[in-house]
Amino acid sequence: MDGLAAGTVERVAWGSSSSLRVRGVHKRFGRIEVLRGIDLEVSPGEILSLVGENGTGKSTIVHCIAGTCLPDRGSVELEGRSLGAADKRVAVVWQDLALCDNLSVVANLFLGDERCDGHVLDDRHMIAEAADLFAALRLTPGDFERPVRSLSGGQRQLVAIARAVRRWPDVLVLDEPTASLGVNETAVVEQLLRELRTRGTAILLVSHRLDQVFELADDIAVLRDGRILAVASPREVHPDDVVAMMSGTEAMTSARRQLHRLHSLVEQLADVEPAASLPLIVSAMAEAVDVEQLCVHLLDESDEADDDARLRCSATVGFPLGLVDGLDRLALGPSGGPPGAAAAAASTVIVEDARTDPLCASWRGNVLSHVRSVWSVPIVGAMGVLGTISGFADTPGSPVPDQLELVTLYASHAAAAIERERLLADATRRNRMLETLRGVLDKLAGPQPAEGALAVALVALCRGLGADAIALHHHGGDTGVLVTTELVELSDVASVDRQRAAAAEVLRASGRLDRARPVGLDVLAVPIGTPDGRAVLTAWWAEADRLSNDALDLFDDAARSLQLALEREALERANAEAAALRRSHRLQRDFLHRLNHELRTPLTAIQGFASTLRQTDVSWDSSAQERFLDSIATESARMGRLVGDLLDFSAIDSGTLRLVRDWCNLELVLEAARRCVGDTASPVIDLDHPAELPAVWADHDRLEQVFVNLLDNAVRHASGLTRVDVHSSIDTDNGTVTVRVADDGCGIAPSLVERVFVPRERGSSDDAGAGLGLAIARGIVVAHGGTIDIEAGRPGTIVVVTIPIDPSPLEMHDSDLTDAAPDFDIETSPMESSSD
Amino acid sequence: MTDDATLVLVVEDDANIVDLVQANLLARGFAVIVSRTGADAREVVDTKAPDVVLLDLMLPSVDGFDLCREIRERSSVGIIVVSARRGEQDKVRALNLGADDYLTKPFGVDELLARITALLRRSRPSAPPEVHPPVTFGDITVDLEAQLVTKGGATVHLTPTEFALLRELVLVPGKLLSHATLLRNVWGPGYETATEYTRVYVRRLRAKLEDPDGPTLIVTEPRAGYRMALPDDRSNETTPSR
Repeated sequence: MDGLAAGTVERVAWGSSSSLRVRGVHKRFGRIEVLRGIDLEVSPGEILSLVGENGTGKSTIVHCIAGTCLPDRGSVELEGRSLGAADKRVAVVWQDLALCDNLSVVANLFLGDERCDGHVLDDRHMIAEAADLFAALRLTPGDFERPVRSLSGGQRQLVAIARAVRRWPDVLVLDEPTASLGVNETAVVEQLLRELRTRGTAILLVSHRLDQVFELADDIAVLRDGRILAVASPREVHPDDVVAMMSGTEAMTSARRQLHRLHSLVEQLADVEPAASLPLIVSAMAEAVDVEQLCVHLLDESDEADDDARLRCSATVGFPLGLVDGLDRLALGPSGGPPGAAAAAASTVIVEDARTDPLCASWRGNVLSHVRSVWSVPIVGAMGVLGTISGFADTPGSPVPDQLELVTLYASHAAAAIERERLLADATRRNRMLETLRGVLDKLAGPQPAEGALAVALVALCRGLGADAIALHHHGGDTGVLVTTELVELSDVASVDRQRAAAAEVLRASGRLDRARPVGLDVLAVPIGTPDGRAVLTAWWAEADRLSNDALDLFDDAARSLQLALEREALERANAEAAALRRSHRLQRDFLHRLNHELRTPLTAIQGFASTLRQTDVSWDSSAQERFLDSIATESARMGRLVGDLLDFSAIDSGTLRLVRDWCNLELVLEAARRCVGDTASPVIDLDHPAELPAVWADHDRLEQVFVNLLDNAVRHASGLTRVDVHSSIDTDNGTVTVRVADDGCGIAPSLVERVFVPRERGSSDDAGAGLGLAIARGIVVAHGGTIDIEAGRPGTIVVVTIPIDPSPLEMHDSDLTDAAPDFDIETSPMESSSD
Repeated sequence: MTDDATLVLVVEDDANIVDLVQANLLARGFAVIVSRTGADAREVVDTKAPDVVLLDLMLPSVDGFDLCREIRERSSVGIIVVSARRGEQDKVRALNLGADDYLTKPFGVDELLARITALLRRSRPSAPPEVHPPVTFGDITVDLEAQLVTKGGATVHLTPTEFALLRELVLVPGKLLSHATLLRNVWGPGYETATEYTRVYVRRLRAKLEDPDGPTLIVTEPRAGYRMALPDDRSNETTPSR
């Protein structure tokens, strides 16, 4: 405050002014006499609060003081002299602020009283003065050049007050200054009023907020029917008395007063934290009715609770620990003691002596050792009994009637609080359910379609609705038959026929298609459009009365989500199918191109060499002729192999591959394969196997073909290859032989591993072949009831071939292995696996 | 190989086909360079300036169509594409990318030699041409003797096949030339029905010579053939009736 010397001096100058006096003011508007002789006095440095109900003339008094309204009789005086109109010693902050929104803070402060430097507005001076003013009022300065419309309500109120007190008036009148402000903003305004009071301003505060009035005012003037009924100090009167005076009703007893306050407190609390309201009511009630031991039992409505424990203790006050246990769960009815009886009968039960009353006969000793008398008041809500409030005393006797009446009042508050809580809880649960459902549906419609998500969504919906069954029926196109495609039944009762009938009824009924509607008393149905045509979603309740409007809304909501999900799913599916088809077409085309090339290239060589030899213009020497003929032979063999491969592949692909089985020696098979490949291959091919390889029931030639293909593939397609290890092992438990063909070449990219068995795909290579080798190998192995897999080696590639030693007994009695493909039946054709 | 020998670049991955082509070409006095993978084909075209490229479309690591386009972009060398694909679509695509001819597998040696010869004849007319003064069509001048075409004073680069086709048209301005005539004269006997060749090559010529708004130099006679506009010094003559 040291820096505000000028302001302080000024304050002293006007601080000595005497009081504002309102004497015998009458005012009549037409036939209504609003003010009937008002007498008020506000001294400097005093806050007089004027309270009264709406329409009692508070604002008229303000107008009379401000000089904007002339009293019919009486006078408004300052320093003993009548006030003229717009006396600058009196400043008024109106309820509607009268600020200019588009002007800045500083312009509003000086509106009509601008500082000028010559003929030019002196902004700098005005801003400095505004800053001084705000500092003197201990307000945060902020930006004075901001337009007022950008300020918050509280900031605007502060500007309005600052403007009113800028010239340090003797009297400040405020009409409901915090009516539209938040808590923090109100606090700032209140602090400002205190500041002005210490500066000696006489303040008349018109407010309807009693808490504020009692907090701020030095005196309270109660206005009723145009008269000042009383002027009292807040230290001497209770707010309830003020309210009583304002409204003209009898002042309440202190207990009622407390209840009143409690009620508003509960209201406020319940808004913020619903769960807090019940314990709050209980503890407040304990204090108000002067009962030491109180407990609240609530009726458990859920199906799980058995009748012997319907009443659940949910709040207690003042109970010793052990006693609560005995009251934790009580039966509904007389066996539940006074609370049980009160809840069952929905009326108050009083037990004057617990030791003799039959109602308390079932109570255990430790309860009775503390309790002599009991009363129980039912909590009755709109839907019936919600629970009880019970009071316990260690002396026998009846509670006083006033006490019980109060408890009944509390009970009704409690009922309201409980019902609101349950409503909120229901709404929350419903929202959560809906959220879960949406989540499931979103997943259903997501980029990765989750298998079974529709069923999960329907189960969630069924539970959320509290329904016993739910079903989705599709309209069967031309036939007009409804087909139930999804069915969730949470109870044992078969309901599908009833649901389908309801669905048919809904489909028959014309009208708005997209709304859920009840069919009879037990079914809700909503028609939805799905990509597969019209469908109906139905929900069924075993008990007709459990179907609610809430369920209808939720069902409608869910059906729409479901429809969306189905649409999106169908779209995704169609896209995926189209993509797979495109890929499949592309692969087939590429395959045909490659095959075309592979067939025509040897043909070209054959035709070319043949025609070369027949040329007459050149005579070839014998070595050249020999070479050409060799080439013709080689290329013919190559074509023969290719054609053979194609025929094999075609047989495998169409499932007509026939095996000529005999007991064959795998050792010989592998040796033959090595010779076949090893003749032309430089890498070492090493065969390693146990001493006694069992004979295998297989087609010798086909198995040899498999290993020729594998070895050939390794030797020709893997660059950087130095050796190939062929390792065989026996698995006697499973009756299989496993051959691992491992090379140390460049390996296969993991992404290609599955696809190398597809005829069109193969790693880049510079050698011929249609890429059928591995596909054929797989086909033959599968035809033998075996498996073929590729593993990544370090380095290189390992092809693992497992074939049953004798598949026939397995097929006959070993059910564990029947998933191995049986003879001649090729389950996994390469063609099919490629379109995955 | 002698300096004046005709150089053929063979881009082919199959060893036996290479042997077949190489043996036959060497026996007939051609010089041969083989590119097994196609990877070095561009470099050979740049440094060795072959007269003919025999290009297999199905190469293990290089796309034959791409290679064709790239060779055409850097050279007007005659390109014969060799492919197992017989579809007209593939043929047109190869021609569009700059191939002069398209040889389908399998082929006989006669056919191969005939195509190479025909291609070479286009780029090196064996008989010395008669005296032909340069002819002017608007801003285009065609000098058949110098084998030079200019548009607006700037030289237009034509491949031998393109030039051979233009030559056929310019020699008889205003006269209708049937597809068959053009095909026989430019590509050789046996091509008479391969109208995709003339369509593709007329389009290529138009792209290089004509304004985009519409063809005025080479006029299409639907289902018949093409007709060259009259040169400037003869445009006052009466246009022959159809």
